[in-house]
Amino acid sequence: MEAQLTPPALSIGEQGTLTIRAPNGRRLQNPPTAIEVPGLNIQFSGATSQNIDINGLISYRMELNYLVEALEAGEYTIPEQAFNIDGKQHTTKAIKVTVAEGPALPEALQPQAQLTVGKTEMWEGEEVPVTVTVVMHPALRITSQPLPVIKTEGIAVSRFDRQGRMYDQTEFNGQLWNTWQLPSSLVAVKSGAFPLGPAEVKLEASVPSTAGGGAGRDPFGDFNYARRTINIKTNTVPIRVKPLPAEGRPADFTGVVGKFQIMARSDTPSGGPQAVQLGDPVGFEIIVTGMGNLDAIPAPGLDKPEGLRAYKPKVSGESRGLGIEQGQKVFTQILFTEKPGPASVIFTLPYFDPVAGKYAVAKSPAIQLIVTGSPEVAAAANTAATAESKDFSGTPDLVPPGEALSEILPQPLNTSRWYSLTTASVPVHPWLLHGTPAVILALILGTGTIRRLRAWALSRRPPPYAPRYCADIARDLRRTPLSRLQFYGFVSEYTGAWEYWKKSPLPSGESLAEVIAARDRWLYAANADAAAAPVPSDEQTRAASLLTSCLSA
Amino acid sequence: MRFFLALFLLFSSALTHAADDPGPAFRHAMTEYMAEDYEKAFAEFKKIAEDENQISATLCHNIANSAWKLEDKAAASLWYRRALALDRWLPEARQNLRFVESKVAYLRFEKSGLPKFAALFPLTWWKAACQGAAWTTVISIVWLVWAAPRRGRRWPLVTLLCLAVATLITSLFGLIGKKLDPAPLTKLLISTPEKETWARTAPVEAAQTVIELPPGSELMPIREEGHWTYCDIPGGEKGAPLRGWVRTVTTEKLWPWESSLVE
Repeated sequence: MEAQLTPPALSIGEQGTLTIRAPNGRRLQNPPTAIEVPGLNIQFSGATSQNIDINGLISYRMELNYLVEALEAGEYTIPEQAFNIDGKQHTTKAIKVTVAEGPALPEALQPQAQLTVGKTEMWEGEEVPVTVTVVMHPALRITSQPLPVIKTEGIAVSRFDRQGRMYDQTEFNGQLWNTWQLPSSLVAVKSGAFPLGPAEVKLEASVPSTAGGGAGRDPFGDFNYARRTINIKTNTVPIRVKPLPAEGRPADFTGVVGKFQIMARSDTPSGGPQAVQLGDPVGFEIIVTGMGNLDAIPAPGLDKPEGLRAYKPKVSGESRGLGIEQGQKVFTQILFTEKPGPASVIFTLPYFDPVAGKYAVAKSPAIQLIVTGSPEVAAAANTAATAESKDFSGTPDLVPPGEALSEILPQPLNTSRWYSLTTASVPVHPWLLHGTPAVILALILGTGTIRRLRAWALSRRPPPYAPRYCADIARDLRRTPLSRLQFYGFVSEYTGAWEYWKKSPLPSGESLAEVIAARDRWLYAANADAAAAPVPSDEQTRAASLLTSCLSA
Repeated sequence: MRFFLALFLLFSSALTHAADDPGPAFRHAMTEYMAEDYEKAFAEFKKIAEDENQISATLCHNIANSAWKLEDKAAASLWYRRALALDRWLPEARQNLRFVESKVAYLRFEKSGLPKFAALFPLTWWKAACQGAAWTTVISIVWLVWAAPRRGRRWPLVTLLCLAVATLITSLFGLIGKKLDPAPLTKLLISTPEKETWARTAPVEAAQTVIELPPGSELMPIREEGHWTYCDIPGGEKGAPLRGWVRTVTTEKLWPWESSLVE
């Protein structure tokens, strides 16, 4: 395998390419992604594979490329590297590389940096803002964010990348320079007067190359760029750190400097004093807000710990910046009640106020507890395991599952319906109570009955087309005087009515047949004069009697 | 329809016997209560019930509140129950009674099935509903079958008949539930001891104890012998019957007044 570095020598910040060729290589397995050489940064940038046809003979060639960046001046050796190609192990030769210092950055392009401090006279432990400003020529192309480092004994500086950088442009001699403002904060941990800084700023930038003489421009007049690492130093700032006064220092002061407030709430907030069973742990959320070195804030203690025992606190949340703006730190604290009766829970945090220059104590509003129960039961329940088994992570505003009433509703009520205890109830008389619907029922029954009777009577009435009753016709048969036509007309009506009402044909018989024959003769065959003559009485009587006897009405 | 409405009003008219607002006495007791003089408030509220013979759900509730403030848990639970006997949906009394129960853990009869359903309304309501529905059913059937209403009135009558039959069946269940109720309000005793008390195996102090009765426990009297009452006691395991002798003076009737007020 062949290995070649192009160019063979590099200047600081300059980049080259290490090419490794594997003839007849077709399949590469797991090449190293980086090659570790102090002073050089070598990263795998890819592999290419080619088929070469020479007079019909096909051969393969594989090239592996690594980007080599010179970081520091010196003589280096890129060691032998082993590659697995087509299942076989191949090893390259070691390559020597010389990294020269390279030409200095032109004075006109040299970036500048400045260190500024919020106040030069400060208290021990006080958070003070600090800013590093970097100004760069527009021809420099920054490739990574500048990262200042301040190394001064007795000073702790927060990382400069914890806050957003401010980028701006500033005009110098009619030219716009790029400006970065990098804010942070520092805390003096040692008192005395000493210089702060300088801050060292490391910049990764592409700078116009002057290699090959001239201005280092390409045929189109543009700059050729080379990547460089630029280290610049800022000025120093004399500061004076004052020790915290011994006078007025609270006994439980732990070195918290700033200005803070405390809020606290229990895990089961109530409108009034909270009822607590002796032995039951009570969870509290303590919220410390303010400005200062929040990192140094311990869990607030109890103002009057009598009858209360604090379990180990936990930090349950933190929201802060550099300490030079408002921040918040939240603790979860579990307390055991150790004796029955009322108890007042107040959390305190002593701190030193750098503005006022004196100590102060932040106190939470009091939370009242009413502790009930017997000490024997409490002793059994008052264990750390009990507290561990309880979940205080939920927000106190959430309603716990199930009903856990803690007090009666004490408001008296004043609107209601009043009843007399002496006045006996006046029962409605059963006759009145049931009489009314009974009467209504009777009315409906009566109405229905009357309707039905009427219908029945109506149903018995003969239809309009029905003949007269036989009895009525029989009376007419005996009426005198009657002509033959009239008499036999009645005879005909009588026989028809009989058939209608009896719903059967006329019975057969000689005497009845004679009467029927006489009827037919006088009604249909006789002349009109003879038919109009009066019917003889014996004939009338006999025929009428015969009819009424044979065909009873 | 106006006619049927009048019919129902006729039955409902048997349910009421209202009294006048006691006015100044009640307001004075309220003032004492607001001034947190619960002893006076308790006495004055009770005076309205005992001397002026007037009662209301809120009066009972206020007496119970005063009793609770005076740490008389038995009286508090008794008077909350009385408030609920008059107005079973009074939310404050229901909540406070639940609270008292959570603190005292008194024994009480658990109702289930028909008695629980029947307890939703007083007996008088069930009776009135049953009678009204029965008459409406009979009249509707007779009207439909015998009197043959006019065409436009048939379906409203059928609808009314269905509603009446449903009401009749429901109210019959309610009445059966009342009949099966193991602990009717007007018969219940409430344990109101000054100190802790026990149900015993015989009507003598020296007898063995059956069960401790927390203040406010419900008891159902079976018979009395001298100063003792033989009672059904709630709390038997899995609903098993539990009986014992209780000193009569340590009990108080839940509703010593006119039963028609709460039944």
